[in-house]
Amino acid sequence: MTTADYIPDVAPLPAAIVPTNYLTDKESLLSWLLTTDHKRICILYTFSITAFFVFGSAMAFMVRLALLTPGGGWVTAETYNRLFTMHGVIMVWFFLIPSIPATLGNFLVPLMIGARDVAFPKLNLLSWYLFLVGGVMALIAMVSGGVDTGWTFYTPLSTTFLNSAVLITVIGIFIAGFGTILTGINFIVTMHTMRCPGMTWFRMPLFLWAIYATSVIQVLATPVLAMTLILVGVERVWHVGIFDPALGGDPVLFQHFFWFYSHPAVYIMVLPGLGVIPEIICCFARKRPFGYKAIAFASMAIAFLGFCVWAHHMFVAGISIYAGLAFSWLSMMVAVPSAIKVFSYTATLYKGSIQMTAPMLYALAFIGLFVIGGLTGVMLATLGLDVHIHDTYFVVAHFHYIMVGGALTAYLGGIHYWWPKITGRLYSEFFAKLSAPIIFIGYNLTFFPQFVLGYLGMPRRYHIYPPDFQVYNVLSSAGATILGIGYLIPFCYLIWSLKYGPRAGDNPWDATGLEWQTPSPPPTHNFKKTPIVTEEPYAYYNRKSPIGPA
Amino acid sequence: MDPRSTDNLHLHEQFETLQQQEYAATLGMWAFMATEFLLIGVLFVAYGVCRMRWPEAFRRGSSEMHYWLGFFETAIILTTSFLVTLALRAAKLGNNRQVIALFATTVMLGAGFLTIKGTEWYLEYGEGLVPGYFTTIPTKEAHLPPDQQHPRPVQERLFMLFYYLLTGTHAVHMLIGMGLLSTMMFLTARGKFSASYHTPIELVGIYWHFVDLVWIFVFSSVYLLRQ
Amino acid sequence: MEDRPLIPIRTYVLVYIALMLLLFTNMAMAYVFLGRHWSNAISVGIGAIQFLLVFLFFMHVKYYRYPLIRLFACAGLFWIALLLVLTLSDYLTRNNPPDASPRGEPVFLKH
Repeated sequence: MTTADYIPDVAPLPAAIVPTNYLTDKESLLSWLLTTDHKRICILYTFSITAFFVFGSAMAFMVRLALLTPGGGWVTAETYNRLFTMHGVIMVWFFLIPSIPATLGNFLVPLMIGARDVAFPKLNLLSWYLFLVGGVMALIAMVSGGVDTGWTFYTPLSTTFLNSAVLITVIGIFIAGFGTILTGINFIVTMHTMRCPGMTWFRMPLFLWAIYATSVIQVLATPVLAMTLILVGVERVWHVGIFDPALGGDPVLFQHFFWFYSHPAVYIMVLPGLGVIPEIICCFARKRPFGYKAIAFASMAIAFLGFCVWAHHMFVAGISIYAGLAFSWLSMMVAVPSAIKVFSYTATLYKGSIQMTAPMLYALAFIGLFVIGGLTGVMLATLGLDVHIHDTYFVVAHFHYIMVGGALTAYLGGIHYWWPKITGRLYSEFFAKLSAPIIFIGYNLTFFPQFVLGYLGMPRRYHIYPPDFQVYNVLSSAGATILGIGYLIPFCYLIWSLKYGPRAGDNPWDATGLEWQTPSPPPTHNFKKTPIVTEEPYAYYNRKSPIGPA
Repeated sequence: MDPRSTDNLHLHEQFETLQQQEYAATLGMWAFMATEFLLIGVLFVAYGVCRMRWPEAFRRGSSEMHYWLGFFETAIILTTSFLVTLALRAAKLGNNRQVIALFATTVMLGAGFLTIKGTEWYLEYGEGLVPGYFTTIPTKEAHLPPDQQHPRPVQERLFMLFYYLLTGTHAVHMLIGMGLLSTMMFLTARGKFSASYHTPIELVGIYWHFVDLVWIFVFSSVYLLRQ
Repeated sequence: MEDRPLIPIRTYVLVYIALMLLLFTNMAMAYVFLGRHWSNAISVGIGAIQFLLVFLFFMHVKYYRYPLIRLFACAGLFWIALLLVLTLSDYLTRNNPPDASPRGEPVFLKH
């Protein structure tokens, strides 16, 4: 029950008895900055990552502007390198990796298991501060000093180049990495120890399985990045030669360590998205998921196998052919659980009562785009083909299909789906249904030509290209503009809904899941009484038929 | 839960029972330990790979280590591990004075360890082994004619870098551990812990043992592979 | 703590004595010449045994009542082993033709 629904019989009750929610309970700035409430921390993260997203997108637009003309456009080579580096660093570490886990994950994990908060609320707040400090540090370093190594910091370029901004950027990422680790530990322990009575592992929503798998990756992969960045810093300062061939080192060793983290990192970015989709699809198809256990175990399989495939980024870097064979095969294997998941989601749609709401549009877009991204990933895993298309726009298109077409689309879908729960308001369905196709069209126009470009041989990270490629580059840049407009529209209507949107009830979508059994927005302690779960998850067969407007 | 129980004092509001809280704390600590294993493990993997590529240079590096000082350091740290384990047992029995005494001894021994370590580093600086101040001819041989000198292979700098990274990271962790132990001593003296609640002591114990584990590997694989 | 039982002091003392004995053995091996590979293996092996003793007994991994704690404890070690093994799968299988530099440069597209 929200304050708006309360109708007094005789006279209004004193303010002390009117129920508050987590947003209205204590409203000072300090109560927000020192909060340990996981829901408020979600909001804090949302602000921060949106700010980073805007900055990273601005970098992307500048890159696409520069690529409109074959001769290099309006930036020098040096500046171009800095632009794409900033775009990559910000988008990977300060937008995508925290996006769903730190926002939706933070909000929903305790709610979905019927707990009052996460296991370590103060560590949760610390995670946000570490993320913020690290992010701001890296941002300032990149803007003021300029880093042009690419987000991958390959040695010996990153360790011998004189510009010191690399060191501070790397320290910033190091600090933010600890935020990620603490979030991961928090979620893992929360899910193991704080599930409410009756909430067995196989009654948990699939979103939680995905977040659990993501957290395992975060905990196990990020320390490796931390130490690798320390080694880069040490090498920069003392020039000892771990990675410098002139002094006897091996640059490929850096790549082994870097990609041991960064490949699982891409699964950190996409697994939560793969977890949001079944929530949306089951709700708007009014059906249980097809193959719940298969999807749950597939999340864990992706988490594990994702650690065994890293050298597929290094096929042409100089690793041995036998290692190349092993990693190629393993990379094909990791596609299997991903496919199981996506095809299960598709099968879930079969014979469902489909409602084409905005979140459903995003979920459907996800399925199509993720399949394209995934299949092109298998193409890249093929050794022979990779020799031809490695370090070309084919790779760029592949990972943008997964990251933007997959993860970002799922993030938008999740934001829309849980918006009523988080904010207590409903957004404008008309504008939501308008912007989803615009985003979809803009997205494909931006990135599909890049597959063609890559296959034709245009290398990535080059600011000039042969004039024959201009058509595709112009298409891509035009798409980027449409995409940008597409992203602006939700930004506007979502913020507008905060003040003017109709108030949402507890469960506007008539969805299953514990998070919908509590008011929107939830009270600070989530539930009045600890819930007891007796139902199987996604018990949509128990629900009445399709819901109307809230 | 019995409202008269003093367990409530230590129960954080997100948990239902004290046992749930302790279980969560232990799991969380071990998850954190996994991250620490991975953090240090990367250094060992890099060391191992480089040792494989430059066996002669690394052997030479190991042979220049002060392994007798290393022996005393290892003996000290193994003893502190033993003492901390005894302290955990004392905490479980509610024997706070023993806990404080054992932790105090551990901190002092830790200070001794760090003193020996500092001495080692200083000696190595004198011998021209510090990366950045690396001398190809050992300082001891500088006065000899060239045909009696044994110049160091250039990759020995790499060995010394790993040595400093490993022992430096270890020393930092040891300092943090000593800080944690001191905090635990202080809190125990204030009466915060009892037989029914001493979770922070357990967690700090796990951390200190981790510091010991790292050193065991550093000693065996950096100091002693001299042949 | 509910998580593990109380261990008798005797166990701890025995483990400590074992650790110190292993330390003395390791030092003694520095004076015994068995050839590089064997002495390296023994040295690291003794270190590994000491590691396991501290890990299992002093950190109580052997005694935890909940298997999940043991799983978490072993996860970090297992993952480092994964990194080591798969990285070595590259370095150990690179071609090192006799005339190449000792850096282990690969012959990727060997004709």
